[in-house]
Amino acid sequence: MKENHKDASAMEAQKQECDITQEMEFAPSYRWQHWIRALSIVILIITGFYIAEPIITPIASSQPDNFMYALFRSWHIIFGFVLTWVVLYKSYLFLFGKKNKMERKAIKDIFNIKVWFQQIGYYLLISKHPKLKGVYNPLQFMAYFAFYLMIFLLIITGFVLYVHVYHNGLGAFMYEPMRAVEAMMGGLAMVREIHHIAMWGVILFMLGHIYMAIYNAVFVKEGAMDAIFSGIKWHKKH
Amino acid sequence: MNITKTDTTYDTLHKEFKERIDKLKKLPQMDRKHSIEEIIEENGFSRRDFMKWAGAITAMLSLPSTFTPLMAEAVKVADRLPIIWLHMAECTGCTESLLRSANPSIDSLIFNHVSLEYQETLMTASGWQAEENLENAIEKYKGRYILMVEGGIPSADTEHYLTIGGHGHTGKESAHHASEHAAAIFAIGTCSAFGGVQAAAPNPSNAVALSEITSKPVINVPGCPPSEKNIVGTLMHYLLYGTLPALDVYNRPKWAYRLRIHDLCERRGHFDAGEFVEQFGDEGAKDGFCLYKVGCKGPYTFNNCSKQKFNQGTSWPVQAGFGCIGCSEPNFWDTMGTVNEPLSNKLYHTTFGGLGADATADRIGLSLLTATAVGIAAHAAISAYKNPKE
Amino acid sequence: MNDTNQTVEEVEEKVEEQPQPKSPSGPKRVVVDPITRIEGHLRAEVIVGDDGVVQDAFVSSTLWRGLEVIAKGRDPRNVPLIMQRICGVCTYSHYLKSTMAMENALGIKIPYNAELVRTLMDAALFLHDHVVHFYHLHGVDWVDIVSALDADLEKASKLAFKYSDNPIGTGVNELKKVKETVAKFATHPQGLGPFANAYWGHGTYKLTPEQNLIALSHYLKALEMQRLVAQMQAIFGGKNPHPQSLVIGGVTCVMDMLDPARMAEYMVKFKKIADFVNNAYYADIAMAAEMYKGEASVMKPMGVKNFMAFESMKVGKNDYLFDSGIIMDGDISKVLDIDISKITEDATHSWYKNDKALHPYDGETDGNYTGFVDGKSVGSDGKMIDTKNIDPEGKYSWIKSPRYDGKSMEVGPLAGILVSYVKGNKRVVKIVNEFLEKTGVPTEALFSTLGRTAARMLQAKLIADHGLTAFDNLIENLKVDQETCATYTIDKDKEYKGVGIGDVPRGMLSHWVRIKNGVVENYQAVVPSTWNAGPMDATGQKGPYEADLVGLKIKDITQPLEIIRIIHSYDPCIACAVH
Ligand code: HEM
Ligand code: HEM
Ligand code: NFV
Ligand code: SF4
Ligand code: SF4
Ligand code: F3S
Ligand SMILES: [Mg+2]
Repeated sequence: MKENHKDASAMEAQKQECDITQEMEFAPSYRWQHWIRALSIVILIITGFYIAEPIITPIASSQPDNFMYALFRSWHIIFGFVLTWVVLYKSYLFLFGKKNKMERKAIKDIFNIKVWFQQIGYYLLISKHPKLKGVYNPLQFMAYFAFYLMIFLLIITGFVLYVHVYHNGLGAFMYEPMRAVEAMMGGLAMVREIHHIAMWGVILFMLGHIYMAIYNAVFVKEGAMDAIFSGIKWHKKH
Repeated sequence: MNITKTDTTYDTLHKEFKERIDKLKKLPQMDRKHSIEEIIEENGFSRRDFMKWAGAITAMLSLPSTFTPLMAEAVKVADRLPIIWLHMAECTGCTESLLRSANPSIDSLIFNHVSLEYQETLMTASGWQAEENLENAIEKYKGRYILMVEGGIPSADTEHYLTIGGHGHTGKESAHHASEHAAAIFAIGTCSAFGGVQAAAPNPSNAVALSEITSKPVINVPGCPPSEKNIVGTLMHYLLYGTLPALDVYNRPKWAYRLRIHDLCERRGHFDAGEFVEQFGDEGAKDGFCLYKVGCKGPYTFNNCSKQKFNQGTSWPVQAGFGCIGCSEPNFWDTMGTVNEPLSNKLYHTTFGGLGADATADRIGLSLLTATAVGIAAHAAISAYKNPKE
Repeated sequence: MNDTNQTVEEVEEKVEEQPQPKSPSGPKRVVVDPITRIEGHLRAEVIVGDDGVVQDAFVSSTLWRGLEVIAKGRDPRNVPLIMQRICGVCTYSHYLKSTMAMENALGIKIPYNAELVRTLMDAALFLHDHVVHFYHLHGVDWVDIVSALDADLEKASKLAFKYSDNPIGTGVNELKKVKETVAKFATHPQGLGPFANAYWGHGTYKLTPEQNLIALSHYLKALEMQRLVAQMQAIFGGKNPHPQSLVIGGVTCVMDMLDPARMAEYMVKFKKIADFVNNAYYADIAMAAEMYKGEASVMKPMGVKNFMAFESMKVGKNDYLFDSGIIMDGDISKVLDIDISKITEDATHSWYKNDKALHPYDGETDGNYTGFVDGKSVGSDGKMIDTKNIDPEGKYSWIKSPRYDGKSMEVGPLAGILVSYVKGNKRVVKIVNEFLEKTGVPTEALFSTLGRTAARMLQAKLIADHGLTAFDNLIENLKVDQETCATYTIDKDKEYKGVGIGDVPRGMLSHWVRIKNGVVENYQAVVPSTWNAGPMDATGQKGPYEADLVGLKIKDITQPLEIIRIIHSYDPCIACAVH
């Protein structure tokens, strides 16, 4: 595994003789993008719900100085761009990043039926955790894969909605292609509907994902939970 | 998006229009000795009225005022345009809308003087005489008439759900036949442009848009009905360019359907402020708050109602406090959800065989979320009791 | 139809069928399709004897859209807007009655203000619809435009005072302009445009050139008026056609109602159209009555003498302009009460699966198209040609056959005026008596094509004279109460059923709904033109259109003017009839 984590060699040099080894699981870039993305998504969900049905009533004002809805939409779009940026960044890393080889290796396990059965058996508490080639087990990988599909759908539909909110600059630049997408999806109302439904996909993912993170922290005790904060994972020596 | 054009673009356009009109002028007059302008004047409208009207049309088409004289010229040659209007599966609301054309009654003069060769609601002849009128017009004005079609077109194994005439030809046959020799084809109204109300699920007559039954280009002028201005304006546009106007993704003329209802809505300030009518007739309704929460579909609908309004500027659906139902969008009866609810409350009742009468995306989402949470809790509990294998 | 594929027998059969040229050939079939100047796709077929008298008649609609099917499974709030698209001519009728059906089902009582505003929009619809029908659809059945060219302007202008004290558009200058406009059309054969290839000079046109010119001037004036009346509706409806301001529970146009400028706009426009109704429409009908009362084809006794009308046009608390009731067999000594449970629709000769007569709550509308049969009929030059014909033995129309207690009924302005008249409705009695006196036609003359056309005008006059009562009451009520919309809930666990019923421009309209699981479970509309234009029922009983054509004497079987005049007198709306 060392060769895959060359930059972590400094850490590894510090490895003690104790029966626990530490390992640099997640590089800082990975962790930053994870948390920036997580934060964006939470904000997008909150503002998204408001955009869909504005349940908060602003304090009445006789002056035309109230922009409650516009503000929600602005923050939604700001974090929409943040999300787009980190997701593109992460996608690049996943495909081409030198340090992300272990992620790519996880693809191999997907084509191994045995690993699938073992993994499912593990979650059903009837078999042991399979040995993996990459960092994600097949179920995990598929969940992440579906998550990314959903996020890309949200981004593309988000941009179709965006070009009708801001008509200049980027909005003007993307206008024609986005309208083609709009027609493909069956009109703006359909785009908005798909955007909304995809959000629910993300919410469901989040619930399962956070549960699995805690589950691993409690039962696997390898510190994956810590790793997403600190980057460091530890293994029991076998 | 060509919201702004440079002066040079306009110059070229101006030149093109002029050439086109000169060409039209040289064509032999088909029908009568008098120009539209003369007829207009004889009917009590001064040249000033006429120029005013031409100016209004020019502004409507988003062209600079230098185009006004050209527009007036264009109108004068308009009487050379024979028009055939066919009725398919429809409600005649679009014809009625055309009848509202006005401001002053000059538009109705235009309408009377474009040589309306066939229009079942208005023409005197019936039966064989009517059919003859249609055939004669197609023959005589081959390649020169404008075809306007109102209504969706029954197709597939239900094509015979519409027949016209003593020989029992289907609507599809007659629309196809008339399309073959038309100079330009306008699908008037959402029925003709996108299938319309009869094409709403489950579409018992398999009604389709006009563009589905002809390979020729079709300009869609949707709306249920479209305003009289959009109908007449599209005709004017054709006269100026001699080609199809700039069209959006759904082949709608951009000059009318480029922006959303929402973009120029008079209640937009309240929208951005988050001030909404919560219930029809409440204080917000009296104050003209935004209608988004009572179902306005203006944010998803491309049309110029907020700018042009209806019935000579009398009103439009948002002004009447109801909101937009999306009537110029494809399949709007099926895609826009409940008329008096925001889109996100769209019902998916048909998806679950009537079981989910109140199934909105959010409710389905919440149910799935709850189910997942319950599953997770169970898994966690069992795992705590019976640790996972290591 | 392909000759090469025919068997010898078929060809022989055809030869035998061929009518012998020149000699008396026995009854001939005449097909009129499309019938124009109506809403929708309508065909009439008549069998004409050698004497020119119609022996049998069949009427068929040739389009089905299936809106009742489309309504199923939808949110009750969406359905009134879908039903509105049944028709863009009586554009408000279905919207209103469908909304009322939902309110009836859900047990909602709407605010008084909402009721009155709905009436104001309804008044605009009636005035619009009747004026457009008479002038632009029915008009040229009575008025020979080409004959107007021979009119003497002075004479015509003077003549106008015979029918109105304040005639409209009949000054010498105005008539001159009108005449010139028409002259231009007439001198250029192609220039006739929509008036081309018509029945000008037909022997049953009865007006003098001067009278034709007066009516023609009103034809043009009415084009302007109809725009104005549409604006009246749009003040509260947002637009016309297809206004958009009714919701279950009331109306949404509260801002317009509370705006004095908007209210004044309505009132001013109302007065203009009222003036037109009284001084042009009324005058022209009086003129036509005088000239046509001797014309057999429009005075012929009618085929169905049962009439039904339903209360509507609420102008005040418990105050309606139109009354409910039934007149049976032309017996105008009494009006019977309506029992809506006796309404059924039969589909024996209609292109639907279920033939049986069903009450609308349980009505079915599943398409079963069997088409036309190959046959022969009279072509435009009088020779027999191959056509597609109705098979009277089988199914032949998309229109169903509504019946009351098993009987065919005529609905419409004539029914409405008769019922209210016999019931002693003061407003109606006054208007009818005045008209009969002025024109010198007897009461029985109302039971005719001419009577039907006159009754429509009388209904317009009734509204023109009394419609503003609703307006005044609204102003009074707004001073103390500004409520416009009731709240309600739809309980998903409950089942509801309800009906929205009342007279609309073409007669009694009813919408019937069942709601279950919070969505529409069944939906049926029984429409005025369905009552009037329906085919035969299981017992062979004809509807009013068909029955009225039987016995009609036709001058020239290649010119269907008498046929379409009778049909037009009902103001057919076939998109309505079939939906
Ligand atoms: C309590 C909060 C969270 C914790 C503790 C957490 C933990 C983790 C951990 C440990 C990983 C590493 C992958 C593994 O080996 O399992 C991971 C990856 C991931 N997390 Fe989270 N996560 C949290 C919140 C979120 C949120 C809110 C989202 C987005 C909705 C998210 C999306 C992802 C995704 C997509 C990955 C896959 C790796 C990648 O593509 O970057 N996480 N998370
Ligand atoms: C996790 C990601 C996202 C979530 C959960 C989310 C959620 C939502 C929701 C629920 C709505 C309301 C839709 C409705 O009416 O039903 C919405 C609207 C919108 N979203 Fe997103 N969104 C996300 C990402 C994006 C992105 C990447 C963009 C791109 C800039 C974007 C732009 C928009 C826009 C422009 C609107 C419409 C605003 C308006 O019309 O006023 N969203 N979003
Ligand atoms: N028949 C009919 Fe209608 C009416 N009036 C409606 O119910 O015309 Ni379009
Ligand atoms: S588009 Fe609307 S108004 Fe036009 S015919 Fe169709 S239903 Fe009627
Ligand atoms: S009323 Fe409709 S179109 Fe107008 S601002 Fe509100 S949501 Fe937009
Ligand atoms: S419903 Fe139609 S009329 Fe205009 S405001 Fe909406 S597009
Ligand atoms: Mg029905």
